[in-house]
Amino acid sequence: MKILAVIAVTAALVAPAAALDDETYQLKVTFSGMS
Amino acid sequence: MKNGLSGLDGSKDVKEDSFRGGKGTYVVTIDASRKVSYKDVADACTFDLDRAEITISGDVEKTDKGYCLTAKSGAKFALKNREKKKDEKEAPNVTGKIDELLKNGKAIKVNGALTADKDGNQHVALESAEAVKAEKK
Repeated sequence: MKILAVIAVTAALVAPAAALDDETYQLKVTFSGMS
Repeated sequence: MKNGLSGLDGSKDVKEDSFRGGKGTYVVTIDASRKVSYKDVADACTFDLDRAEITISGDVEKTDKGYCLTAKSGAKFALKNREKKKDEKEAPNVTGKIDELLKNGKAIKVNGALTADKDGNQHVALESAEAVKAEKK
């Protein structure tokens, strides 16, 4: 039972992050000539 | 600067990552349903765009022309291994990893430098690739 509970909690924690990742993407941009 | 990047179509968040020596790096989070091109970013402000690094997931296909990622927005990106750095013996074979990942599904997340050619076709010089878990419906 403890193992099932751990799996359930882990799935609940992981699922939102996966969903968020699917909804956005990222750009890391570097600009020069700034003061 | 932040205002320019916040004005990109689908921009949800802009964070300053670093700022030194006249160079500023910002991380922009964009709605997956919106297309933002290299040119859009370059035009977003008056400073010179040195580098745009993209992390994006989509469906990857291998064609006779190479590897192509189609994002949720419909935007297409040609994928290729990046050039070797000075301190490396050889560049990482990310397309080789993509070959392996494609055996288990075509939903793949990639990271690398975004560029565009004169015709507006977008390319990603790959740093990494990993499988995206299937979305539960």
